[in-house]
Amino acid sequence: MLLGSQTPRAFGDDLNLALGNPSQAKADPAQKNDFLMVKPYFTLSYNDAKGTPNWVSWRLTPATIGRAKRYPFYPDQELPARFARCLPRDYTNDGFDRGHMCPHEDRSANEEMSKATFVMSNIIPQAKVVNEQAWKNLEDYCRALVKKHGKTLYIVSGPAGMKGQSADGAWHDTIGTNRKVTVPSSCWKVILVVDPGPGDDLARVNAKTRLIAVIIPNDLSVGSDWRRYRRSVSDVEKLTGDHFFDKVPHSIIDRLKEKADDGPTTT
Amino acid sequence: MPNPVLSDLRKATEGLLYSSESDAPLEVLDWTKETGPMDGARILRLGRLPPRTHVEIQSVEEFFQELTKAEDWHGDSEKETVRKYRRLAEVIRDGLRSPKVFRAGKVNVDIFIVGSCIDGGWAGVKTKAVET
Repeated sequence: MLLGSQTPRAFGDDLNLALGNPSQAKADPAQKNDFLMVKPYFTLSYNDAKGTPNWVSWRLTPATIGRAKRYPFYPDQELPARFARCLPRDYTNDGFDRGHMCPHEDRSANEEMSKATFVMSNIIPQAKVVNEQAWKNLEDYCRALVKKHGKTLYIVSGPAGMKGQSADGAWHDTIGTNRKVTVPSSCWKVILVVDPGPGDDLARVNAKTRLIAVIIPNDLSVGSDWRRYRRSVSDVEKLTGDHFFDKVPHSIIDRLKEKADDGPTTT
Repeated sequence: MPNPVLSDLRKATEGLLYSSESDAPLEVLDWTKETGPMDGARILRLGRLPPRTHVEIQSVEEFFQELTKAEDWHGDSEKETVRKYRRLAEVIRDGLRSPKVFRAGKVNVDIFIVGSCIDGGWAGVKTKAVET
């Protein structure tokens, strides 16, 4: 399948949110703090009060991983008129990295999708060690599952809470010059791993399907090992109030959500 | 006699930041006393980086391409940054011969923009990027 032969909308609409809308977000400008944005390469719920997404949801397959170059960050000009856009300079010298939720490399098969990941509504203030170590290592692991083991991944990721630790050790509730951006106290990710095949991926989710979830504190205590932060999907739901993968029948998904992943993590 | 390109580079990089997932200042590289060819291995030695660090070479045009572009969303602060990058690109183009960009490392990337000086030796700027 070549990405260029499909219209972006068809790819995004159907598949990046195929397993459910975690907060039942709607594309209603009156819902400023849970505003659904269906974009060509990922789907997110935007929180205008925080200046960050609540969650970003995307489907990962080998077709979207390549070598496209990076772009400078830019504000989201698709936000409704009364929203306060976050600018790249809201992060400048505030001691936090501009942390991607949907990673650039997960959308690196061509320049258009690569550039799409640098929109500020896909970004949260992330502690340096988190962004550059444990979080990155989990992102690499996901891509390895896809590239080396041929899996299809449904991933949802986002921030939680308020107060994180900047590079100099100080704690901050918010950063920002042009507007205040909430610094989360943790970053979370939930992953459903499915084997590709004909028809809907949903039909292939069963009692043996692997779910992986992490909650990583947004501070300098975090090292390189994401496995230490594995939790159950249910733990993440309690943290965020979201419901993940709710298109999967309860009889299958409820039990899977209760257990923290303990599967092999070398690829 | 001091090399004028060093002074031009200093003025052009003052207050300028290189933005990636983080932000870093640009520092002037005075390697005017270094003779002989410049390559990745030499950059690592001069930059005091581990000898096995991965090095990629990029063209100066590619490095400056996005940095010198005006975007419709730019405010005064961003416009000033674009002006400064255009000036820096000019100083490098006019003051150094065959400048190249050496990118050393992954995730935490040390970036060296280096070219040779008319009276011998090398000069340029260095900065850092975070790329996860």
